[in-house]
Amino acid sequence: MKRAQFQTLEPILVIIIIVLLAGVGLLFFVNVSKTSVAHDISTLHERHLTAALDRMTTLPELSCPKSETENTYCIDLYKARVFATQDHIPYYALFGPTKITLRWLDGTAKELVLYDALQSGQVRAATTYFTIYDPLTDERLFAMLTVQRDVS
Amino acid sequence: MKGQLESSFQWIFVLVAGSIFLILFGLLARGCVQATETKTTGLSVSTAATRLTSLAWQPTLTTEVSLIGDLSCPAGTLTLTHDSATASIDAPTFLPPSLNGRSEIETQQLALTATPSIPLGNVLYAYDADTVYLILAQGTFEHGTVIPATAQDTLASHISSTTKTLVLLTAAGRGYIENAALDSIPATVDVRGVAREGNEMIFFERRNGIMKSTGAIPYLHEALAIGAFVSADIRNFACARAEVIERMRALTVIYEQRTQMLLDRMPTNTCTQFLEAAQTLLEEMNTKNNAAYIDAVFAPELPAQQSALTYASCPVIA
Repeated sequence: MKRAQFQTLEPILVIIIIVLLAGVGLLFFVNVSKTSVAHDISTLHERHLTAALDRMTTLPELSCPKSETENTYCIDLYKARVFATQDHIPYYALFGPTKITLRWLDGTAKELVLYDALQSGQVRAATTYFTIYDPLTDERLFAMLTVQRDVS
Repeated sequence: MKGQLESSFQWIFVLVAGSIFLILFGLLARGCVQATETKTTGLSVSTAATRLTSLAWQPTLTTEVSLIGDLSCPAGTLTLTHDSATASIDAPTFLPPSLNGRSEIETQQLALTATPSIPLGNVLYAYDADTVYLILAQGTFEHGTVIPATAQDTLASHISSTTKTLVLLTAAGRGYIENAALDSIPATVDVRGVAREGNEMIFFERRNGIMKSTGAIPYLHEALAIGAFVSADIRNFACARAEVIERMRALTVIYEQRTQMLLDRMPTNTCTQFLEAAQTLLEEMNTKNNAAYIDAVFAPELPAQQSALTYASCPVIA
């Protein structure tokens, strides 16, 4: 390439290099923005799950008698057994598209689906630990409450 | 000629480079829009429902409904959150889940709390700290902003033209419009309120000095009337009350079935007769029509049964 030709093409090359640099910068910016948005959405889903767990453990339909709830969250085992058989449509406004499962240890591991309005799709889950109370035996048992929420 | 061709090539390169630049910007803009849409969709899902359902108890609403026959209620009237808070609470629920707890909550606190415990035989209602609540006769609504107004000077000293004012008239009289106490509120103050007239709750408003009724709904119970006072909106109140009764019935059905389940599984002992009495009470309660059901829920029998079971160290109702 002759010197004169290079001098002619020089400004064009500069423009191309600037455009490429700007493009790389913009792509980086987009990726950072996407990561930030994804983080916000993830935080939002976590809040939904936490809120659902919070509501479930304080729901009057499930909560233990006052004497059992002085220091800790507690679910009444027999209320839970009845609640699991009820129509859950009135509770959709509270829990949305979630599946809430109660697991506890009573000699063996036991499981009860309290609420199920989960639709097919991507699911996130959260678990909390607390006690359930058996009013017949006056026993308190270790339990887990798991919320799965549709995030698709 | 050669110089002209070189110049054309330069412009072609500039055009190509510019196009690439524009395409990159286009892709960037599209990516940003898609990302923002995804984010806002997620956020709106979290807040839209709760904002919609919070309408029921925001005293700043001014929906006017003269007839309450064909009522179209928003879904989930009982769920209430404050502003953009995602931790909604189940309030105002009117639910009687326990013997101890609270029966009122300030709207500002809604973002900070989970479902509050509500006393058996009470209701939960949310009040707004920016609103002046006036009870123009005997009343039971108690918190810091309530003014029990009985004299003209009391009213005049507490109300300014910029104050949101809700009025509860509980005195039986010739009619709410002629009520002397209400007339004593400065004419420049717009007020909304509810008055009990016999078996009806009459919703009214006075705007620019003109008084008019916005509708009436049957009176069921004082505890529910307080909800009418706080909401000051007949449609929202009617929706909330209907949902409250439905939810309350669902709760007492759970109590009934739980009690039966306990009776089925426990040996006969001193607790059995107490539980059977509670079971009978709940069974009767759950078969009543709405008005009778509400009376039964707020009657002293249910707390009395609970107390008896507690005293006997037996499994309790709630």
